Amino acid sequence: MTPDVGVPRKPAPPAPAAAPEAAAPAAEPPSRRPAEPPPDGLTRLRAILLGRERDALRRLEQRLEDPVALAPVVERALTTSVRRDPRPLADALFPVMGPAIRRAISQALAGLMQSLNGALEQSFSLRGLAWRWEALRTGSSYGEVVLRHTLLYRVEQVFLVHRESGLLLAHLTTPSVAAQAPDMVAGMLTAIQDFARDSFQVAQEEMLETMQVGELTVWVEQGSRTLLAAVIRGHAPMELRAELQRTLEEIELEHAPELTRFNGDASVFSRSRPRLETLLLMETRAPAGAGRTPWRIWIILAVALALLLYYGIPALIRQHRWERYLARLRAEPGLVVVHTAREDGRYVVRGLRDPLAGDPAAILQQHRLTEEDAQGQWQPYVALLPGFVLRRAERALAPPPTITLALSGDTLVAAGAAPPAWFDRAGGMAPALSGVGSYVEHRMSPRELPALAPLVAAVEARRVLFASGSATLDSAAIQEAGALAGEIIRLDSAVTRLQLTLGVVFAGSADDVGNEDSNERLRQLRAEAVRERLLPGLPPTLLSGAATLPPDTTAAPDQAARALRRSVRALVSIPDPVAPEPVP
Amino acid sequence: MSTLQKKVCMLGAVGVGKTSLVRRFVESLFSERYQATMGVKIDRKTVPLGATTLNLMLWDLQGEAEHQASRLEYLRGSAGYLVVADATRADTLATAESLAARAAALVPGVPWLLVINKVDLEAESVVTPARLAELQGRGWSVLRTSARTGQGVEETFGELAQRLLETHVPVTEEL
Repeated sequence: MTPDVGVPRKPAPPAPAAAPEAAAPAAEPPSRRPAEPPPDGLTRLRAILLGRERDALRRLEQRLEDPVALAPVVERALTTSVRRDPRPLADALFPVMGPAIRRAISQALAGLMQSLNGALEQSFSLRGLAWRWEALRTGSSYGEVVLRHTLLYRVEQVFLVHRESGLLLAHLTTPSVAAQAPDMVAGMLTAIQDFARDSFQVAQEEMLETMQVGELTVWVEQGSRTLLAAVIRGHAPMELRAELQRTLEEIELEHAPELTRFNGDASVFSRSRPRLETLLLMETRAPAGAGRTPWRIWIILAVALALLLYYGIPALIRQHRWERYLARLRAEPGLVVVHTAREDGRYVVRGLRDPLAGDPAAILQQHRLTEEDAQGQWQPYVALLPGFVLRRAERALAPPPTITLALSGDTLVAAGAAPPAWFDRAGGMAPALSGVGSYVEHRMSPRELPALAPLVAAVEARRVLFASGSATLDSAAIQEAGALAGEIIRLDSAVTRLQLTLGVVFAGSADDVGNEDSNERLRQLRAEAVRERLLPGLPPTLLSGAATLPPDTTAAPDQAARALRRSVRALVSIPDPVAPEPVP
Repeated sequence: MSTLQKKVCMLGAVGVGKTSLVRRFVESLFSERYQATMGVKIDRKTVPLGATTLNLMLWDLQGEAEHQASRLEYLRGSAGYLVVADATRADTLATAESLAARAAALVPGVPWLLVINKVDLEAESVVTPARLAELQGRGWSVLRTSARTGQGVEETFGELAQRLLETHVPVTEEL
């Protein structure tokens, strides 16, 4: 429009619409000039008469051809026109400006929507939370952070297409991308434009601007004679679209003549390749600056370590205790660990338990674990371990303290003193007990019991000796009597422990010297003397008596034997246990 | 050796064999199966002509049906076109004539050929020598082809390519 416009006779304001008509005659003269015939008389005359006017005309022509000289005039004309009435100029420009402005606004809005959608999309995801945290930490707005992360894209292909014919003018790809028949794609790109326009009956300037194919987006920008299409992987920023449009405008400007006369030879458009190459952008999100990475990693590590200490160490301790607990359970007789597991955050042990075995809950407590940490599920069973067989026998037979039960192989041995009724019952029940094959009993009198026999012997071995014809305790006799009392007390406590009663009879004896009457009297007196001497120090439960031993009619072999006969000894009697109340 | 791209459109009534001709020309294949073309299909065939390599971009347009006229907007920017008729159906020849007239108005002065396809079905042919002569009398170039046998296909596209090259006006010298 500019070169031909505005050739007013004066710089006065012409109506803009009148300008084109004025252009034609103004352009004529220069082309006609070279055809003039050589100067003759008439020409010379013309030069003489009209010389000044012709020179003025020529200067005017030169001025008209110089756009710089013309610019002030055109500017003045436009200014005056707008000042007088802006409408004609606005009307003239509207068809050009309107769509462009509309498009610019809609693209800006689309850009806004894109970031808004992105923000909403990411708001509730884990990544979104991470970005919120980043926004908080860096002090930037959440929107900025989202944009920073989502603007990951690569322009993989650029097509410059002749709009009218759909022929490919230029095609560029990023090195790693294999493009398929770009000339056919170019044709389809224009065909699709026509198809979309026809199908949806929109105005001729409208166009299919975006195509989405999987991860790829095709952005198409349309100029007056060309299409510029960019195949983008990822989310490109809206600025890229502006860049596409700018590039397209520049190319159309530069190649305007070739585009007007394009006839299938695309070689001239190789000039535009450097310009198009700048569109093969790639934006990757670098993993943050090198300087910032370390402290971030350290913080993450520190947090991880703190978490490990907080949750991991107690867990390790629990694990250690659990393992020791399991080892203890496995060692415990009567407990059989069948299965261990970790369920819902706590340990579980399943197994068999003999009712006589140790209590797992008590063992758990000993290992400083709670029911929260570990749970036991035990099925009852009968263990045939010797200890358990014996304990079951003791429970079932309820032996008195004077009976000792023992297991020899699978033979149950009951030894000791007990009422006959107990032996009868035991003999009936024992073979029926699990783990007991046969039953053997050793009946004993109480004084034969292993716990008592030595003590009885010790008591009965003592002799409190007297001088010949005397029933008075001398110092040696007193000492011996004290020792005897000690033995009796020891025996009594053992007997009492077995729930029996002890009877002691102090029996006096005499030697064969002197007559029998006095000897009998001596025997009596000696026994009484010892009994009375010891009685206050003996347990009150003790049954005691004094007796005489029948005279020893055999002749004493020597003096020592005769002296031994002048003595008092203690005779022990322990009655059989009385039948206890039957144990249920 | 210079490379030129030329857009060539295939016009004609539904089922005259436009797609089959392109397929025979580009891939040397023929299929008995009929498949209607929706919208447009684009193919390419490279034709070496002397010192020039011609890249024919073949736009195979949806056939013209009674109830729906072809969208001839696709014709814009064509360097040439083929109007195809079916030798066995007289109405397709009428459609071809109408299409030829509309195309000439839309892209005036570009080379084009009238193609009578399916000439292998000689017995059923309705295009009489008289009718042929009449069409040629209008100055039209009429070629006879069979996409099935391949008869005349190479020649037809070759002829069009030749004409495209003849009408090609180099631009660079003018600038």
